[in-house]
Amino acid sequence: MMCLWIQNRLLPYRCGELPSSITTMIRRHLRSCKHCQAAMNALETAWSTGRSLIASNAEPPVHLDRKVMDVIRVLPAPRDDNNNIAKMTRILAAVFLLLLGGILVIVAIRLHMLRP
Amino acid sequence: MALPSDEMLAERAANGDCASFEVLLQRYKSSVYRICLRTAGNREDAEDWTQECFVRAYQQLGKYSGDRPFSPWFYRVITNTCINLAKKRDSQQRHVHQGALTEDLVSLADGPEACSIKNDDIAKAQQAMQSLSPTLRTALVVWLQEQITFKELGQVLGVPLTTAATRVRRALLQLEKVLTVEEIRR
Repeated sequence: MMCLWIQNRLLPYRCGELPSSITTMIRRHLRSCKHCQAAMNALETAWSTGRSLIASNAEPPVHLDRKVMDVIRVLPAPRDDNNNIAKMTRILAAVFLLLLGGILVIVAIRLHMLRP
Repeated sequence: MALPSDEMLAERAANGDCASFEVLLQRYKSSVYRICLRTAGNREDAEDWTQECFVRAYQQLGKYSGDRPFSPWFYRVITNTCINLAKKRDSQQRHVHQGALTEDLVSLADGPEACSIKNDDIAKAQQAMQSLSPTLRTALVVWLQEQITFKELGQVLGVPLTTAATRVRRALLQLEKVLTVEEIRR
């Protein structure tokens, strides 16, 4: 249980991102636990492999800017006030219609009950 | 004169200022493209995914508030878009065409040291990357590519620091395992 807890924190421990109390606890545990030492070594190797696979200086193709902006220019503004007002109007209209429907149902029930 | 901050540009873009969004595009395009390239595994998809990422980010700018840092919010949109696109593609196409993949990856390799790597080695490495689930792959790519802390990665992925670290650890170990198995087979 303790080993799993430690192993889930080995990377942030290695990067010096944990609070000092946890760092001290992990350091002590690593000194005494062969299993976690092996896990740390395996992680170091895997990290090195991952870095060599991911590292890239690839640049996007030059036409990408135009391609993206051509799409963006035809889209409505994300915070379009007119669009928001239209949305709010539709919501209010829906609420009004629901209320009206409810009132009509209640009135109909009352009228039905009053009938001799 | 000081350059406008990302937050300021995002606020302007949210109100429909395309020129401000274009500046953000210039600032982030290389980074987003590299994330897409490593997540998608080939240039053609990476280009489409980068476009999709920026379009999604633009559409969601209405929900962005300028008093929050732009970068974590932006990368969150990018990672979610990449995860969704990868899941969609994985479900549509289980097997990547080996020949096309090798050709693409040879052109992905950068620098003189990369030239010494054999084509099939690059293809196997990339296949190993593609063997990771979209969630693990994206977490690993963003962490290694952007060289961010686990706290920042947690903010980007919307999870606690330890969850972000666990995802990266699992991705690294799985990657190493797949590559070791490949090595033994050879």
